[in-house]
Amino acid sequence: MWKKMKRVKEFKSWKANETKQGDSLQGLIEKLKQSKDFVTYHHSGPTNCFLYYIKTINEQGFLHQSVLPILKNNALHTLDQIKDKIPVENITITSDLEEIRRKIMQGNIMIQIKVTDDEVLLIPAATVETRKVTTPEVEFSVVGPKEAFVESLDTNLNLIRKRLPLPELTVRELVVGKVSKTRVAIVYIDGIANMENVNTVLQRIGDIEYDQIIDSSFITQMISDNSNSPFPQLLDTERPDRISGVLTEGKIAILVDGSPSGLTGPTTIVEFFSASDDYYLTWHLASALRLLRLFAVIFSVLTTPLYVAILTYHHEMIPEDLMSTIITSRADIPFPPILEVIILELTIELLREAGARLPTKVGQTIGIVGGIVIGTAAVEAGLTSNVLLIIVALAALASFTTPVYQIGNTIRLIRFPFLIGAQWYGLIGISMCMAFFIGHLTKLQSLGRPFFAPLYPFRIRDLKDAFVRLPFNKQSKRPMQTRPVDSTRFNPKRANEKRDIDE
Amino acid sequence: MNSNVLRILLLSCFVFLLTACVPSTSVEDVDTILIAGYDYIDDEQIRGTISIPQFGRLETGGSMKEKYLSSTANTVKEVHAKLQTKSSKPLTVGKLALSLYNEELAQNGLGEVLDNLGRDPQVGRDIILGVVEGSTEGFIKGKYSETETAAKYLTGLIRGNMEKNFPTTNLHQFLYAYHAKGMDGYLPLLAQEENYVRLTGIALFQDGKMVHSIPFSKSFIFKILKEKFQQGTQEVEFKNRHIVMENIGSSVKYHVKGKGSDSKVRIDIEITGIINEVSSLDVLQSPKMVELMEKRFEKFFQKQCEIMVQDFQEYNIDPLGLGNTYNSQVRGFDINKWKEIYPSLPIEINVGVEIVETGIVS
Amino acid sequence: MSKITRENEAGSLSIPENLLVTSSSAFFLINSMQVGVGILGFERYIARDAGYDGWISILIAGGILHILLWMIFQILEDSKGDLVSIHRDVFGKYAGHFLSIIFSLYLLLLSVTVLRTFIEVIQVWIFPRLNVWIFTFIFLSIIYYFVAGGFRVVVAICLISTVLGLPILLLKYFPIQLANVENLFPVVDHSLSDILKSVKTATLSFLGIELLLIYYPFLKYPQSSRKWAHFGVFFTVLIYLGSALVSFVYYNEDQLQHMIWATITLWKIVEFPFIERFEYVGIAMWVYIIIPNICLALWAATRVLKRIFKCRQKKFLWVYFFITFLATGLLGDRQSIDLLNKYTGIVGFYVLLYIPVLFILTKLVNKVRNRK
Repeated sequence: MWKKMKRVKEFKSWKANETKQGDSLQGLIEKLKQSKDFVTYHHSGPTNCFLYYIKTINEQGFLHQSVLPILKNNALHTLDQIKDKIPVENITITSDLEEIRRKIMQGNIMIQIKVTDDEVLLIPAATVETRKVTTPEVEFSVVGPKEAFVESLDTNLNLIRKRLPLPELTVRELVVGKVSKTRVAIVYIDGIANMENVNTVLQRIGDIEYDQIIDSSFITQMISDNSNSPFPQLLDTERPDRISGVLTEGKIAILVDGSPSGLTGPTTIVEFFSASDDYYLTWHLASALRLLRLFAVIFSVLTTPLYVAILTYHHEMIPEDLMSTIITSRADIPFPPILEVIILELTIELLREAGARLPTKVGQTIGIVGGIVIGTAAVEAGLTSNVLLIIVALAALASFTTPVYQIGNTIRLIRFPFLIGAQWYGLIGISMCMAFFIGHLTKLQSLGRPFFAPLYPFRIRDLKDAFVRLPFNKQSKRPMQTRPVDSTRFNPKRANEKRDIDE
Repeated sequence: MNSNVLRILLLSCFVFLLTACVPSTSVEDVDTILIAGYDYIDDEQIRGTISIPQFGRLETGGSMKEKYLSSTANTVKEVHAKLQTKSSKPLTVGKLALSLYNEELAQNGLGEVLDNLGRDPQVGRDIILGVVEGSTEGFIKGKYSETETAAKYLTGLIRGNMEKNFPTTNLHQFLYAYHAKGMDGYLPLLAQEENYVRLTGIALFQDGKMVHSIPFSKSFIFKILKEKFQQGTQEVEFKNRHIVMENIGSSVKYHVKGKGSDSKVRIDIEITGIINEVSSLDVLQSPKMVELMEKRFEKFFQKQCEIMVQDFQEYNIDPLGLGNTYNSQVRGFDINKWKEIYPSLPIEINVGVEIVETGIVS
Repeated sequence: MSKITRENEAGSLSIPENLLVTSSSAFFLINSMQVGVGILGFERYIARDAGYDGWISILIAGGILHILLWMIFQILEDSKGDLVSIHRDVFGKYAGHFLSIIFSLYLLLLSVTVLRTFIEVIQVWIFPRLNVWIFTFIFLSIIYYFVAGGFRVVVAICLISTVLGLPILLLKYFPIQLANVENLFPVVDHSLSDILKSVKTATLSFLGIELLLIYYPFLKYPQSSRKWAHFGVFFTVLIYLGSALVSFVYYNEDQLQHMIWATITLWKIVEFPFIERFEYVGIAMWVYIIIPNICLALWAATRVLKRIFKCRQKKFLWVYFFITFLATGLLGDRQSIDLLNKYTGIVGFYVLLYIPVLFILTKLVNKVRNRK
């Protein structure tokens, strides 16, 4: 908070400075000259002019091969003449200070005939350093495409465009952030996506008032319908195949320059449990795995609260054969179940957090040290019961099965209210907590569409790609959730023409 | 809602919630009673004995340890209150598996004990009740097995036999019979031998009082009269040899005919069985022999059943629930009238035996 | 809310399209309101008069309910409004509003009864030392969270409660294994008057359809909702019939009279290898059945007041929550709760009786108006 205030203050003073000096082109040049990488170059020869550029974001080769030779070999006296000679598109001649400032900062070369001229020529010659397209690391899949987004918006758009070669694939672009001037692209397929959704997104992104947008997660938090909810209301993915998949369902994707992940919406809670793998496996396997993930999440959230509830209040529910196992393992533990669970859960969270912060190689060691050494030692020392150790470890494992990283974090967190509920009122407390979360989910919206969707409002049509994934020939309609303009994927009649035996 | 009110509310909520916990004890900090036994002392007093398993850490305790406590008081609740004074941890009856009574107490009526069990929400409905010959105190304190608790040993023993020759009974079924019009309950009768327990028979009740018993050797007969089941064996003498039939499916049906004093009851029993032990191999040569065996079994069962039912009528007890059937088949049932006619009620028994297999040798 | 829903001069309502609910919601609204805390122990009351012919009474009561539901739809279709506007049309402004307020108070009473009875179940079965005040406070906070979300959220919780309630019905498999089917015979062993007495008791279990009078304007397609509403009543009758039959074959008549909560006692014998004694789970699951009951009743109760006084619904909600909180906390023992249930039953019975009266009155008013 303090940091942000400071940043705003700096920004303000900088802005004031800017208006003082930047009233003229000369002022701008003077200001830029303070930076070491700003190059001013007086070109004398046949053509007499001044060149300005920031060398760190300029492609030097381009300057040497396409600009300087022309200036050297021809006698050009006006900007128009230079513009005609230089073999690059998008050259502009302008005296608009705002435009000049923007373009120079984006890596254009500015040419001026005389120092006192207001009119300049701007040649785009930007170079952007990016990573190569690599395999996805957060949402890894065994089968299917293995490309992931990188930090360059243009590369990311390229990855989507090559999958959807359609004139209808529309890319709208907005610039957000007073300082960072981040390019934000809103991608949708015209004719499938509902314009209402598109307008919602455009309007909400347009309304963002913030100085910098560093990652797409900024956008998620700023445009989500309820920013106080622990549930992410836009799905973020680093897989271009996933984005192109949902674009054809009529959803909208948001890509942010500088962020290796795209956002899609409107989304539903069940979408967070579907992996892109689901579409690359046969439908039975995909459905089984999806159900497994759903079960894993429920298991992960509920087991430790159930442990607390049953051991604290409902002893009768433990079958006799399990009774001795549980009591034996708990016999010498000095803490009540709730404390025991919280200690162990926090340990696991510590391990996770430490593992995430450390370099990969060290992280693995931490996992082993934490998992085996601390776990065994804690049980040996009689601080936790081994039954609970198994449960907590399984719960942690189960929470890793979520294909979307963001919801995994949510699941980590919402376990704790359930634990408190279990400690207060046993199973009833868990029920009440669950009821609260169900109510919360039904209230949530994603881009104005219900977040809890195929369950409430109850949509049988959307259930075929929710908890199970039915075969492709049953998926003839796009989900109702997005209210697509054109809701038919293919003609099911033609696809399902019956053939008789031996024909 | 403006934020100030909300803040105050949240704060008060929080203060509230900190005190919200319901008093509780963790599962290892309670003494779970697994067996409770009650002995008759005199008209006023009963003596209760309980068995509590003692779980230690796995490394230290190889064998199962149990703790036994006994107390004498006027009512069941009071017994429990007194037992609590002897125990370091709070006692709970939540996992009670067996409730035992000595014969004397059973003969004096189990009404009070049953009321206690039926009323307590913590007690399960499928716990086993039993009557013990001698005192339950000694019975519970007996050391039967090195590897399992007495409760596990006893429930295993009774449950296992209920799947075979012994009729099924638990708290729910006994209470059902206790409350029903025209039906009397029964419980297993147990006796302690040196270091094991034996099922000695079936204790028969009338209005919660034990009035009669039948030996374990007759329990198969009782079971085929009482319920449909698919287990159990019975031995019969056939041409000076002993053959054993294993039941693979028997069913029983009661029919009531007539009204008032000229009522008649017919019991139809169908048994399907396989022969699984013959003392000599040369008998099973022809299909005719099998037919003869079936006849022999039918005759045997018919006779035995008739004897048993007459026995019941003599004692005016109705563990089969014929009155209940009568109630459902005849309109205008009067329980008092039924009690009057029951002892002299003509009861006809038809048994059909079918032997389908004779094992893997012929 | 108050700004969005405006009333035009004719007294009919215009509710914004995004607040309307689909016609199948009628099914869940009706069903979840009818299935409540009563089903945990209604068998005993039904069997008190008609014995084990009680299931016939359930069927008859179900038939009556269908007729009443038909009447409610007739009333609403004729007037194109809700209870408040109907009352105003029929009785004039003051008398009409007075009756509407009584209806609102009845709904308040209903929610107090449901909440208190459920808390009693928790007290008897799980936590004898439960602090009722704190528990009520927490429970009501959750309910406030729902009701403040508006009708759509209330419908959502109705739907979810119906869906979550279904697996509980499967637990009846366990008692059926120990069933004595002959308990049900001979069929019709009681006199007609006994059965009719028990019909009255059974009808009280089915209270809840009268709330349709309030939320009717929220149904997007009233015509097709009709079918769903009837289907909802039918489903409720099936659930009650199933529960009653299972209890009847599992207990015998005298035993059942000793069972205050026959259904919960049934759960005791449910046993899985990893969990025993299902009544704890059952009661915990019942939270989901109770929440829509109270949510819907309090939503409707405050909705009535909002329609009359044109004031923010949230204010009334606070008042009603406070009353519920006080009443629940102050009612202490089994006797007073039993008495509360009894009085609610009586009031509910008169509310149901009032429906045909209202039906006739609206028909008459319409006739007079048409003649003019």
